[in-house]
Amino acid sequence: MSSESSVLECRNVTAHYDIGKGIRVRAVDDVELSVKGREILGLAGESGCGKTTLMRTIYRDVSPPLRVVSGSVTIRVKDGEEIDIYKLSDAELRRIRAKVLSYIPQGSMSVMNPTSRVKHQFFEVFRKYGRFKKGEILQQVKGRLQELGLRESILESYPHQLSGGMRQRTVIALATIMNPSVVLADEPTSALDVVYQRGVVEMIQNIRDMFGTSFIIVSHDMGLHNQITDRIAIMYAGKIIEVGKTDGIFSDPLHPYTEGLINSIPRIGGSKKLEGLSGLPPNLANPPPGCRFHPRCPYRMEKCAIEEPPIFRIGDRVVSCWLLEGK
Amino acid sequence: MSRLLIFIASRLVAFAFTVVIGVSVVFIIPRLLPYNPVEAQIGFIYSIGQFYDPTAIEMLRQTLYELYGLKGNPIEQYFAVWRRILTFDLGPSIMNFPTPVITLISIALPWTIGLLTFSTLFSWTVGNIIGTVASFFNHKKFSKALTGIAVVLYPVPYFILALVLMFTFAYLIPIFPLGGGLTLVGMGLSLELALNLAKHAALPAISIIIPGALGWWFLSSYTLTTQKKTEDFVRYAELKGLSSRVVLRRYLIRNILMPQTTALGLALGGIFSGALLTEVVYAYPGIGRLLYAAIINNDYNMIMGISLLSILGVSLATLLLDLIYPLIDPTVRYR
Amino acid sequence: MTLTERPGIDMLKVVGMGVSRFSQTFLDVYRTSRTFRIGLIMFVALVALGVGVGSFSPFDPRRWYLVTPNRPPGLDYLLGTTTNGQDVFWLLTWSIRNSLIIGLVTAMVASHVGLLLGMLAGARGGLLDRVLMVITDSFVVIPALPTLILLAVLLRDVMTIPLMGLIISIFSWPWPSRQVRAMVLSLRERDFISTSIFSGYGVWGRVVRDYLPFILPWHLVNLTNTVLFAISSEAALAVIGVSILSEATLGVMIYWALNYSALFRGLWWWLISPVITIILVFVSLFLISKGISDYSNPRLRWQAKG
Repeated sequence: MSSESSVLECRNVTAHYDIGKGIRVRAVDDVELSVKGREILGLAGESGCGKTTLMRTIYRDVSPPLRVVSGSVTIRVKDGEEIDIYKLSDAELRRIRAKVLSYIPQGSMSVMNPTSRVKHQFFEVFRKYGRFKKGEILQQVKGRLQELGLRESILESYPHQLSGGMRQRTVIALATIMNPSVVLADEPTSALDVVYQRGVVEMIQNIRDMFGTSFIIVSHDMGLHNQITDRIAIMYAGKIIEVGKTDGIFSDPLHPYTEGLINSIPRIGGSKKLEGLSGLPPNLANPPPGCRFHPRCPYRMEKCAIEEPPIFRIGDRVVSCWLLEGK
Repeated sequence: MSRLLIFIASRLVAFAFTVVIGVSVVFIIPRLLPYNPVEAQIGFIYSIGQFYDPTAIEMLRQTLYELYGLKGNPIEQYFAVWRRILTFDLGPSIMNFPTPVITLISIALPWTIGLLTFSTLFSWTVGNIIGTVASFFNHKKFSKALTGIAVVLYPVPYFILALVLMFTFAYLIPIFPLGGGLTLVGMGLSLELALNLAKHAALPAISIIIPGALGWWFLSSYTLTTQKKTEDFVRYAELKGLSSRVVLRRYLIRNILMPQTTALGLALGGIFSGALLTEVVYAYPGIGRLLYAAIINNDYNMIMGISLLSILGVSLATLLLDLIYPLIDPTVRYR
Repeated sequence: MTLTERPGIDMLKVVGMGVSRFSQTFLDVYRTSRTFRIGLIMFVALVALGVGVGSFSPFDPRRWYLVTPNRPPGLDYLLGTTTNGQDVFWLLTWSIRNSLIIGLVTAMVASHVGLLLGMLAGARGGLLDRVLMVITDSFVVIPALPTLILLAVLLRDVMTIPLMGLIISIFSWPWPSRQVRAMVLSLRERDFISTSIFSGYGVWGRVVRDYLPFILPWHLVNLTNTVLFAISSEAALAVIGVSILSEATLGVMIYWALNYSALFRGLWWWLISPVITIILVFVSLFLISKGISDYSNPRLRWQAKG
């Protein structure tokens, strides 16, 4: 791995949806991304920009019509060993899921087995790794719930008996029970009331602090990113166009698209009129030439429509925009 | 607690309503028949020339009208029917006069219950297991073959299949007898008796089990599983890296068990009208054949008795399912 | 259209919309579903045999002893002849035609009655809904086959092919009606329906505008299934000898073959021809209905493609 401190690294990842008749949707295009230990990385962008597809690609949840064209995803296990996710056998892949890499899918309200008590859904994860003593595991699970501030009584409940926020927190507890190195969380708060969002955010931060887990949080909600993430990667039309520390991104967005995203956040007491982005994201089956953002960009230059901007590194910031050429 | 009581009460009222309307319809239809069983019987007595005393004939006529529940105007008859039902006296059978309807039913019922309980439970179990497994591995060859078979078996009525089976196993390859409940064998040897019984019940049972297991139950559990497979919690179970065995057992089978148990309950409730056609085709001495004979012979009391039994069977099964369902399905509560 | 205007239903427009939606759905299903294509081709072939070829029949199916009895299949008689001196092939074409008529009558009457009552109960709600549902439930509980036998015996003297279809209809409407009601109830929960309640659409306006488009694919499935149910019910009645034994239907053919112990006298073609035909009819209709219902369930459709 290039950087010793990163636990997960995507290199040149490209993934397409083959939707027949030769039409290819380039949902993830040549993505470079790394997550450091104990880091909460945000992945932001409008819906349809490929965020969820990137998550599925990292998790190797790939089935037709989705196809990974090129690239590698490596993850570092606790003992320092590095695994290339795409080189694992099916059985090995099953084993690292939950223990090394976990996934909290979008709409996780409906991801628990409706006919099984919560405790059995915890047991299932342990049972994956061979025989176990029920009593011991129950104690372990109870301890974990206590650490996370969840009531023990949820273990005897069925999923539908839990409130929305509680169910979401239970799913997170389930996904992190084996202390994975990295957790991918897709829109973890989007279906929740503001009150419950707070609880989920705190829980994710607690898990990071207590167990050193890294998270990739996918959300279109810049407010959430501001609250929770250490670094943000901005995705547009299948490409990562800017990566940087959260504070820096918010105080000084370099890419015009990032600027547009941030300006579209409503602020309490803010008197400035909201300046959202105009126009729609491009059709990924037929993206525009040059920079993919140029048709919507307020600062576009002639060059933007012709040549794709390379990656510019400015301090710890990575930006892909011609405006930064020579800076 | 009071909500539970209201729930139970409302189900009981609905049960009572369906039974009353059902019985009423069954009461009206035979009375539309252009046939008077009492006059027919009197005519029969005249024809063999035993009685000639007009007063005795008149008395007999009145007795018969009362026995058949045909005394008075339709409204009086209607209430008489209810009086009989509530006192469990269904009157004598007309075609087998004067044997009571209840006696004849109780002779035929064990045959039907034995045949249908066994074949229903058996085909339910087998059908659900292979249906779920076939749907889970729906790209495998055996799954495609089974679905192909089911597509033929599912829509074809079981009596047509009974004919095909009869053609195959009683004509082409004569293994099984052509019909009847039992051929008379020397009394005593109970094993021989049992074998004989099984042999006679085999074809009727097979002709219910094959379309049931490989057609109906297979396809319904296959479809249910295919739907469940696309649901988030099953997809996620796979993403969590749970083994196929756990997903199949704890996520799929467990979740299709609820609707399938309901269907089984209704099927068992429907047993009491017998497998009319199968029984007729194979001359099997159950309720279905009894009912068929009753209809052909205009036996009001018998028709009423068997219809009542099957109406009660189906609506009781519905009632019980409604009451029990919230206990077995954690996602449903008494409303 | 403004909110204050209370929209009426322009019947022509509704029918036009229905026809275009119907043909669009039909083409879509035909294009995407192999199941549907196979079923439809089988069914069209059977209809062609029954209605097309059948109308050239040199024999009246109701008359006996027109040809040499008990002949095996061969060049003279394609599928052999019966003990009653009928040509099995030509008899079969007439039987297909009559069985289809019964199915069609039932489908037209029962599925539409079921559809209307179900939508009315669901869309209106209240007392009407409750009364309709108790009646429907009772019809579900009444044992259908015995009652059908009873009615068939009762009406024996006046029975015709279309009347048979009508009688079978009595037990073919309650189930669809329940299903439609349940669907309407779940549709009512959705937002767009409440919007149209507030914008002043009447019951029928709502039914046509909001519910029908969703129920239509299901209704097509139900039409097919009702044809299937009707043909099988008539066959059941015929096999035990209470159908119209002087007419030719697939069930009646089976009845006579059984009645003359065709199998044991070696006249297998007499029994096997109608049995195989009836299986083909059922399988083709089932494939059609399966094709449509797979199509109308988008989740399954996606899976079928992927």
